[in-house]
Amino acid sequence: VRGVLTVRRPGSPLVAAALVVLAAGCHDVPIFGSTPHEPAVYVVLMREIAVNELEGTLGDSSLFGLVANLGSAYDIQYRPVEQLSLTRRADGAEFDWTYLPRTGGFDNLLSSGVDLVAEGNLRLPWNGTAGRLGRDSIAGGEIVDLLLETGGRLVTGSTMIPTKPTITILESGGVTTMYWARSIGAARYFVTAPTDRVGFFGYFTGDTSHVIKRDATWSGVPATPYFTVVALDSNLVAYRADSTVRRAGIVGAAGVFGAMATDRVPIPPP
Amino acid sequence: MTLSRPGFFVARLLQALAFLGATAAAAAQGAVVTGTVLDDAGLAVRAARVSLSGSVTIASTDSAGAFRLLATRGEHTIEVRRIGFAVARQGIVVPDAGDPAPLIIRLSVLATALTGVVIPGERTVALGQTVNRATVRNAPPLGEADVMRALPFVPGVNMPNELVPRVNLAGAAGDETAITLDGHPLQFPTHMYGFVGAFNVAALERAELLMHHVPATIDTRLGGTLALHSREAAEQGDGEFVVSVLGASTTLGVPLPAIDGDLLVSSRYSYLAHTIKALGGSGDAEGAEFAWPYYGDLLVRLGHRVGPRWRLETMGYYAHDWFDVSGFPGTIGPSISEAMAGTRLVREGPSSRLTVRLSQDLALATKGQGEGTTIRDSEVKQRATSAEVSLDTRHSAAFASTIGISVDDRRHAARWPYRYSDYDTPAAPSVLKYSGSQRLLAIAGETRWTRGETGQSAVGLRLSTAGTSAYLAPRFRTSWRPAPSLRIEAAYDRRYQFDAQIGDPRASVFPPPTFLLRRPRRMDGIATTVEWAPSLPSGRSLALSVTPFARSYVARTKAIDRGFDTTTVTSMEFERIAARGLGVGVGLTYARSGGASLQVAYTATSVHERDGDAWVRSDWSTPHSASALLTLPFLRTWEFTTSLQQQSGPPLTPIDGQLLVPSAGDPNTFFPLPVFGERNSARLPGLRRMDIAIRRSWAVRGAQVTFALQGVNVLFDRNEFEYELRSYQESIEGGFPPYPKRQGFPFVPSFGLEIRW
Repeated sequence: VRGVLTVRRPGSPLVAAALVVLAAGCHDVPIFGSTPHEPAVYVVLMREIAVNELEGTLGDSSLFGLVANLGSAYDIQYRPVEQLSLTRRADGAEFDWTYLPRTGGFDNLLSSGVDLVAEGNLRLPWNGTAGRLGRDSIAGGEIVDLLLETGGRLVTGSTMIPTKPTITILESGGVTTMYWARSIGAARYFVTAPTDRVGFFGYFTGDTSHVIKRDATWSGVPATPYFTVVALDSNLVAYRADSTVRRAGIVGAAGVFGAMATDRVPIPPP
Repeated sequence: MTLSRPGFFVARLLQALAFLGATAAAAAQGAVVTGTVLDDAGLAVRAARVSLSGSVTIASTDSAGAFRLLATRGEHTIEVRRIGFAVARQGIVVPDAGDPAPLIIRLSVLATALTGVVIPGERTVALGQTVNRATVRNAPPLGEADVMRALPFVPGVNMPNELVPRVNLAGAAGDETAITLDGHPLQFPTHMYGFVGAFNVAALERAELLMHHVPATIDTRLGGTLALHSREAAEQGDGEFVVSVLGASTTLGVPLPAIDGDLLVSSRYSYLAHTIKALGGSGDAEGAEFAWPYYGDLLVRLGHRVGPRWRLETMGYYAHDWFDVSGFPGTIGPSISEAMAGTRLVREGPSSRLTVRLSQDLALATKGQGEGTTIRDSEVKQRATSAEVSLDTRHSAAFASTIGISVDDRRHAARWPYRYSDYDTPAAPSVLKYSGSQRLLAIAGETRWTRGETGQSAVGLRLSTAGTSAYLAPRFRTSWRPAPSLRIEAAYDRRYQFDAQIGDPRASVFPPPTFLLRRPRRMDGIATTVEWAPSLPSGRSLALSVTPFARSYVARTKAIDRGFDTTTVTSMEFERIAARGLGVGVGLTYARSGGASLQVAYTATSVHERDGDAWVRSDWSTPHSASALLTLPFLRTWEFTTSLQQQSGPPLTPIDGQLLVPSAGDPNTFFPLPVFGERNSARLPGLRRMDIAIRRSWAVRGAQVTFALQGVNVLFDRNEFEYELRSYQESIEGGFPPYPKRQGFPFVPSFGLEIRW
């Protein structure tokens, strides 16, 4: 076995003991997969519809989620959902999430992102049906509870939806400063300012202001740049803060149950 | 040991030294053996090693070939060794009273000069290893001889990644090796993003690896010190001119009788980019331009006598890497440089040696981020100033001591504007604006005493103060010769290190910044060497050494996982963890006077560190590594050399699956993130590399000309050490050979031409 010393003829007990000590801890485990069948749930609530700065508003106004397993390094397998319930804690109103049965899995070799519009197996429409709540009913300050059963495993979770971080622009002495309202339920903000070197790729902050620098000189700056603030709840912040954290906001599965709220305004020309 | 009242302990240290001095002064008095070593032509042989058989006493000849050796009364055999000469032995009787008459010892030149192994007995450092210029030259090089590439042939040394000449000494971390040149500390001594060492081998006399024991009077890091020594002063003038596929270098040693001094000038320039362009390479497979690498280095040393016993040496060292980015109009390329200026004043007395050293070093690396960069927005700038005074005194035949004081002043700054791609780790800050300074004061002393002909011991203390805290590091070594062919050495060292880096950088990356620590890391280590060198028929030598060692680390630095945090970091904080290392180094050398030699090294290490409640393998864990270097002369002027290196593959954290991480701002878009198992519990396949070289040497008008053809990795081993793990798994499950993200050297043929006079 590679990495393990084999003492065939321990002529000297001292030498044998030394070799055993040296070999301790040298045993190698397989490179891939000891818990590939552990369930994972990904549901993030947000009322606002994401906008791609270059391609405009995305096509589907529905919100999607995924119930799968940890899979392998390069693919993910779907899991069945036997029971699904998301309720607004204040009044017990039920969200109109539906399960889209899928089998097999999908390759995930590219790190360009997984589009749940195409790959998800949970869906919440913009408008709810039969008296149930749609995506348009997601509101800041509300607490939402999750109850889900997959393969006999019960998964529960809860999150508080952050209030919208409404942005205000202040221009003074040729300096443009963006302020946003402190969001109830937000643990951190993700700020994007494509006109700035610090801000082009976005950054996380606990502050509620940003001074526009206009020092990003490369070609990726859009013609009409938008300043964007995303308020993230504590589940998402905990999930993203440490790459060794496997779950946040849920019990019974890996993954995350969280919520976001966002605001965006065009950055005034200099 | 952390102390709050350094003055008290300084007094205690001096008291201890005085006590040891008084004790040893009472030891038996001996005699002084003097003599001169000459070659066949009657010329003085400098830097020859002179020893008495059955004793640990060693001397080195000066430029006049003279030596001075302390001996006990009675019969001895004196032994003289020098690279390129046959070993000379001569009997001597030390009378009961007075000193014996001066000796004249002649050395005969070997048929093939510079046999190229670490000659048994050549070692001059306790529990360490001396690598000489010939060894470096004999290791089949990647383009040209490189002292850093010769280090894996030393037992106890691992080089987990062959693309980075960054070594782990006795299982220590990669940032725990100090490098000095004639005692002056260096910071970035490599070229081409760490691909080759920034030292012209012709300008070096030897490299000493102080690994298991570092005298208390020498500053070091936790792993040890690679102490490089520049070429010794030329008596009649000498020089070397070397041409290889990488570049050309010239080294000149010039005596300056007008000032009773000598000058060493060594310069090197790489024309690798010109070579590739001349061979038709103008870009990559898609036709894109390269950022062509260039490098050069310069070493100047002026030494002269400023009094009957005083010698002043002034040294300047400069290494620079730059990139031709003319294929990217409007952009500027990275620049990496190191400039060192140092002065050393030495007074050689009849029984004492006073050394005063002053060093100033500036390491500077700048670059932009990515292609199309128009400004250098990333920078690592590290300035180090140090001064040291030390006094070696021989109090009697049996007792000597060294005491020294040093001051180090360091100012480091590093900045990058967003996620630093050179560190593939979530521990690297996204935005760094670091600035730090540090002033260390150290007082150190060591006493050494000889017990008859068979034993020598040394005990030392080093007291380092940083701010208001002081740290005491005791060190001890002893050696014993129970028989003429057997030597046993043992040592205990405590060491402190006041800086740290963010783990090991990837291959071919920008120099990593070094962060200054308020609270140092600590290592306690013990080691024992048993060396057996039997007497063989004339012209043959054999030495076998076994060195088990154990180390314990306290407050070792581990960079904190920063996840997706993009906060600007201005002061680098580390998690402090415990670590341990255990291992054994085995070395075998065999040489014949005709030039044939075999050098074998095997190192087994088990290095672990604390991760929460568990002990996990360290990132550089290499349980087994073995190397062999065989040199065979043939047809009088030809020489064949082959080397084989085999070692465990690098450790790897297994992937249990993958999580999805939501995009900030788009709840329908997620990004994959691997879910890792126990840290470093898996391992990639092992590494193997075989190199060969054929050389022919001949004399032309008093010069020695050597032409060499070399091949690196002649077995075409893939030697993968880094994978993109998703595609790696898919390849394996699809039945295809995985395509590594990074692998070791391909087959690289090259040539070299050396002219020495």
